[in-house]
Amino acid sequence: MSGDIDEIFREYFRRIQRAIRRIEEEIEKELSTLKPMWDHERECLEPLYDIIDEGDEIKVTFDLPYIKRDTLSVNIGEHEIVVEAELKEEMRYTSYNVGKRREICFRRFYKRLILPEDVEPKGAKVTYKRGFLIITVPKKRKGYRIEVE
Amino acid sequence: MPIYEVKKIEGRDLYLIGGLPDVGLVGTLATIHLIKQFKMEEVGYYDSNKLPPILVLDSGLPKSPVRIFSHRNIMVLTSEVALPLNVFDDLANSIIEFAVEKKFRAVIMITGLITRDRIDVEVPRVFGAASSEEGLKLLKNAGIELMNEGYLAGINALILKKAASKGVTSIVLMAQSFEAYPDPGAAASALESLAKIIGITIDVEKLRKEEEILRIKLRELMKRTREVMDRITKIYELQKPALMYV
Repeated sequence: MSGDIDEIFREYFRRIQRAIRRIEEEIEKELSTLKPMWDHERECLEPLYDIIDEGDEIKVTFDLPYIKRDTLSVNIGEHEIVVEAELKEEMRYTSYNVGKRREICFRRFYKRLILPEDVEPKGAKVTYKRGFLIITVPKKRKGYRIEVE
Repeated sequence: MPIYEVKKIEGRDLYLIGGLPDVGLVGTLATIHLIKQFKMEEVGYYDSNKLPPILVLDSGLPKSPVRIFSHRNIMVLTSEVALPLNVFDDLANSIIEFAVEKKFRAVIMITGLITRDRIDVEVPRVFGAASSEEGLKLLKNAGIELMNEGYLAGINALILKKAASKGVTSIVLMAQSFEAYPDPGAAASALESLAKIIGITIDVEKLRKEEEILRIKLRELMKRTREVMDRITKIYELQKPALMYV
């Protein structure tokens, strides 16, 4: 019985976590319309991405062209995916007025993406094809079973 | 009429090729490629108080982000910014009124056709739709597949509709494309079809060769364009022609 009560509390905790993440997601979405897709201090570019809900799975695609394949790093957590990769060659943009700099340079892609739902990282399938990183990861099972006495 | 001429546009058999930011930025990529390849000169621009407050600086001079370039009998209309929804109607009207005034042979818009398995498509197919029998004939003579079913949304749909009502020959070329990623391969296919329609040679090798770099460079425009596209989807998703479900 006490095990069931613990599980109920754990479920409530998970729901609160999900609500917090939805708020984080909304904030990130709003901010992303205002901020550029690059960070010149860290010399990194943000890739385009897409999230598709496929029922029991979540499919995330990142557009990661022109990268050194062996530097591609993918870290999948229960709530987020972090993707990083170095560009084949640095990209320089001149005539930019960023602070006192007239030129900015980018060396890598970086993106930390908050997922819309909890996932099971161990079940993830990751492929890289034609410059696209495709991650399919099963959603964490929702609900739990309580024996009726 | 808010299309202004910087240089006099005149001549016979004029074609207006348009590429505005939407699906896969196919139109944008195709028109930028044409402008560069034929070293086109600026001959006009579109202005409206509904455009975002952005100017493009060209050799220190302010320019409209929506401009017309020309080479011989080919005019190219392109936009360097994502266009807000409330400018669509005015821009479509302006293009068609301009086409009537200048007696354009045809207005040909280039765009992408969302293709779910695009990643597995080596060479995208191109489909066409036209505002008139004359337009259909141009497509048929060039051996371009017709888009017999489905529906068009966005500014290209408005241009086709307004062209039909004003008796202007207009064509929309749709290349299979990614929806949310810049697709230079689709632009290359669309240009190959365009070349067949207007009878010119267009070298698209550079688009295919520099695909990865172009995808990086156009990320920001793609993101802004997608924000507009998502709004169109939300507004029109429930308004898909009812007959499609019958």
